[in-house]
Amino acid sequence: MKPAMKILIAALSGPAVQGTIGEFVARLTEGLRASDHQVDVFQLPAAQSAEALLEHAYAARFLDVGAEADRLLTIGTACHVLQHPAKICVVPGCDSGLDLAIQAAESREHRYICAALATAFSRSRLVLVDSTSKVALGHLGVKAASLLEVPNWESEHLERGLK
Amino acid sequence: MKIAVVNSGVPFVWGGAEHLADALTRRLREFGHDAHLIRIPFQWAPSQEVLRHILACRLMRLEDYDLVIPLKFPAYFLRHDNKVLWLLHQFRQVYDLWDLSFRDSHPKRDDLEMKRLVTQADNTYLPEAKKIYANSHVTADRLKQFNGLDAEILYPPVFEPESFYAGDYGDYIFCPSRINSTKRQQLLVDAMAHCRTPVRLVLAGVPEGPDEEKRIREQIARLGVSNRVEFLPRFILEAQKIELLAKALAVAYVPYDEDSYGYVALEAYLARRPVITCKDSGGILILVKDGETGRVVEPIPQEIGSAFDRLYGNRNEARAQGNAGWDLVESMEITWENVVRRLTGSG
Repeated sequence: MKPAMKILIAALSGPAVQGTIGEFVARLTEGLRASDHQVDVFQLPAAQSAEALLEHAYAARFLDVGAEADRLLTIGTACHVLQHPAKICVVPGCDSGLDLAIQAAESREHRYICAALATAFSRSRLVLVDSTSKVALGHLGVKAASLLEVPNWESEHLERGLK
Repeated sequence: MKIAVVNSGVPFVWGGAEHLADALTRRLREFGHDAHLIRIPFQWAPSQEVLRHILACRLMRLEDYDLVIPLKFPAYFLRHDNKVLWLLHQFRQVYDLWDLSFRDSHPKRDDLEMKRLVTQADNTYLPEAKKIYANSHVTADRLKQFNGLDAEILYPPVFEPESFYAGDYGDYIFCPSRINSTKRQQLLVDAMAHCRTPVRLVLAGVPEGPDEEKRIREQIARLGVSNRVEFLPRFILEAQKIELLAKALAVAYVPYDEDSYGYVALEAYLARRPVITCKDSGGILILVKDGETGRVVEPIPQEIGSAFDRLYGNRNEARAQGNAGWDLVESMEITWENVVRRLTGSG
């Protein structure tokens, strides 16, 4: 692993994801810092409706995370829409954004979110999914060439994206 | 209550607002609330970026919360029906810093358009808040002057007030602060050359550049006070700072015209130490009362040195003023309990 990178994490935050994504981000941050990386964490609000999810996707498109980070890790939908030349998308099975997109099938929001995710993934270096989120992405018809299914995306597989 | 604390910041830039957002979220949880931190990335150059970030924040809605507490521009544009703003920063570049930014050049059309739109966005969306608190009278005055909006003052407490304690009153004046010319540590070193007692000075903090450290070192050598001035030009751990505070004779903090009171005086009072400051030091003057909780003197080395000598010769006065400082912080309710109560409207 390249030493002492600047790693930016953008993850969903809120009551619905606190015990899942929140704990994962805390462990991940601790692990990366223990490996001497400089880590900064941003928390974007988790949407509670498909309409809000679409608005948050638009918002993420407008946000600029700057050029200082060597890597951007996005955790949860619609954080993946953030732009960075070395982006790694982590799609956990507990991603409430994916569930909202599936529930909104056939709607305008559903189509736009699927398109936004497909674009976001096509512009990322790596997409890490677990078996649950892989099925969800299959339901949504979202494909990604860089998709990597890992049994435990908290582990060494992440390092592939950090090299 | 389900509460979102909303902040914005430039990636990898970590300052007082970030620490305050973390501390507030933690304290809200301690008081039984289900609190979550939202932190939005922000870039403020070029001008168009500012407008894109306003738009991004405006697009986001917080649906799963009973209360939203934004702290800064542009995070306070997020949509929610029950927003209580604790204002730390507006986008000062279009307000009080505007003339300073264009002292040597003329604003371009994009700059003027940004100024107009930021002001319009503030005027339109800030009144959405059910209540606006400001972290200092300077922030509140600025909001009134440029946007015509009223804010109530809510002073931020020290992050971990429970950690501070009072020890014996020692033989040194302690100044914990970043080392730079506006903090004016050079005045304190100059003052040592005028002291007639064996009082010592301990300066501790991170220099803002190699020149700052060199400047102080050379001054100490030039004045021949190296046996009475201890210079620690580095980051000191919180535990070390707390111990140095607890055993000091007094604390000196003499910045030039600061906005807020800063944490130095608050921390000194939590350790029951008197504070020496200057008449032109700004926000700290709401905490330091001359002859009661410390000394407020002219920014002249002789006067500062004389204040050092007086406390050295009279430990009982140092103790009385330090205790009065502690009482003052209590009476002003600069506590997390008060912050949580007022922000959540629970009493």
